Amino acid sequence: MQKDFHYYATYCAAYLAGYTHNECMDICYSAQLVDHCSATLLRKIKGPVEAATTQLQLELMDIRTDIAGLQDITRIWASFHFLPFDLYAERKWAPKMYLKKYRLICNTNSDLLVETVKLAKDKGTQAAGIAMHVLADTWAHRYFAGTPSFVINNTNYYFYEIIPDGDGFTERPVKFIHNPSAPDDHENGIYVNSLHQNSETSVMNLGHGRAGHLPDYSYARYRYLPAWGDYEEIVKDNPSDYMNAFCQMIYALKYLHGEEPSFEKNRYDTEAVEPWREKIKVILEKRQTDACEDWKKLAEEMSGNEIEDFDIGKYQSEYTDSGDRDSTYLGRFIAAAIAQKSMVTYHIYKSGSKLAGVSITKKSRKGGSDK
Amino acid sequence: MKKGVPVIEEKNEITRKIRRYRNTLYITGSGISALGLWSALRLVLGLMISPQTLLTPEITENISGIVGVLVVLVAFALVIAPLLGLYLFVGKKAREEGLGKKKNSFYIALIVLLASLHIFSIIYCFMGLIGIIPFMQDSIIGLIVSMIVDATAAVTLGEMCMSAVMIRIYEKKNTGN
Repeated sequence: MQKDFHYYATYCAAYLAGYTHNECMDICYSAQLVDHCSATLLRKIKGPVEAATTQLQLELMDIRTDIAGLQDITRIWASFHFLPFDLYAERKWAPKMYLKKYRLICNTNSDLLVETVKLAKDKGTQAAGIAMHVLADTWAHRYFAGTPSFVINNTNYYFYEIIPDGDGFTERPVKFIHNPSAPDDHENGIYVNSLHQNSETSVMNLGHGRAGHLPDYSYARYRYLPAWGDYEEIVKDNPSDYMNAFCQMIYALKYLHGEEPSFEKNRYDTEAVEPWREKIKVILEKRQTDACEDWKKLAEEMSGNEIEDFDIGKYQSEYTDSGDRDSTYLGRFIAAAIAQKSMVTYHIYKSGSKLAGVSITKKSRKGGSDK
Repeated sequence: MKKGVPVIEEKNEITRKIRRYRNTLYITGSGISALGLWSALRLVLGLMISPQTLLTPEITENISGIVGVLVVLVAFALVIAPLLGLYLFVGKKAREEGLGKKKNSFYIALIVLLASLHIFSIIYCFMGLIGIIPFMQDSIIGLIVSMIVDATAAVTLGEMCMSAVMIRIYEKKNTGN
């Protein structure tokens, strides 16, 4: 997903969940910041690099794909963008190494999602924003894994876009090109994806790189053969998935706000969204690679307040100039990011996989355990 | 939602098998096209750089000057060009069927023909290796490599043929269902 959903749509979901305008701004800012908080940014503000929630293309180009490098990549991408669905999944005849990667495939409504949302409870708007980013991405990034893997994430020539045509749909093969500076051409079905690299751990095979940005576009409907699927086809319907993501965000945010007693899987707040459903549907189905303007207009119509554009430098001086960094906006964001990363890494490690590194559990002074 | 396996929309076993064989056709089709191009290039370069590895000493001794070389090249072109065309045609048809575009059963016969040529070549090289064909005895490594390449090509063509046939069988079953 992109800024249109992580920032503006998250604002809308938070508003419908009962948060005030300022709280909504904090939540959506945090949700969008997940896509910007790289090691480069953290070094710039002299923050802890282990709180990185994303990696820039330049960082990925530079990173070594040795064990430590791969663990670093997996920790970040599996924790914040490709939350694993089932860390104990079984597959007949699958070798151990393959199985460990297969278990990292992202999907919606996982046990880890419940943990993610519960972890954000009573931790402030920054933690709520991070949880909403993770939740939303489970819908967009489902069927891909947050670790570089050719055998899991590769796609091939069998990739068709399904386009609404009158009352029905037509199909056309997607043409993928590898020019990173070229924009996606949704009119002609030409999209940019990562290079085909048959090296298992090439960063080109990270997440949905081989499917380009198609999973990130709300209008996209497509069918393809995932490398892990044993020739079974996946039909992805983003408008429907994104609507589910929106309804689930409202439900999760209501839980975080205290209006719902618990957060359970497969529950969506369809009531709150009802008055806006048609307008949201129009935005989700509109063939555009950036829906920020439409979502912004809707958010402003909902709350009656002006929504300022995302500014990456908004809280940086507050953090760098503060004597008590932990209590600043970025300080709380960093704490929530580290907690989320630790939680996911711990569960991956507990499942018997060291793909995200080793998680150390130690007794805390309060009697509980820290991961 | 079934625990353990992410949701997949389609569960039709026959369709899945057809997809698998189509993918095999696409891959082997690309491979055979590449093999055809490589074989042609190898023959041309072989003739230009070291004709003695491909021709009998009687012929190589009688080649003199550019005209002689050209005559041999033209003679080989008459063999290489149709053979290359055959490889490319088979590869193209297999790829097309693999992509689900066009289906042409005639090329299956050509696959069998090409596979037979490669099997014949393996036998031919083997005869050279054991000394039945004396002029090739000097290049044992070359013969072994040729045999390996021919065996690979024969297996690839066999897989291609089997995939094309299986697609037809499963499609028939699918229509029957």
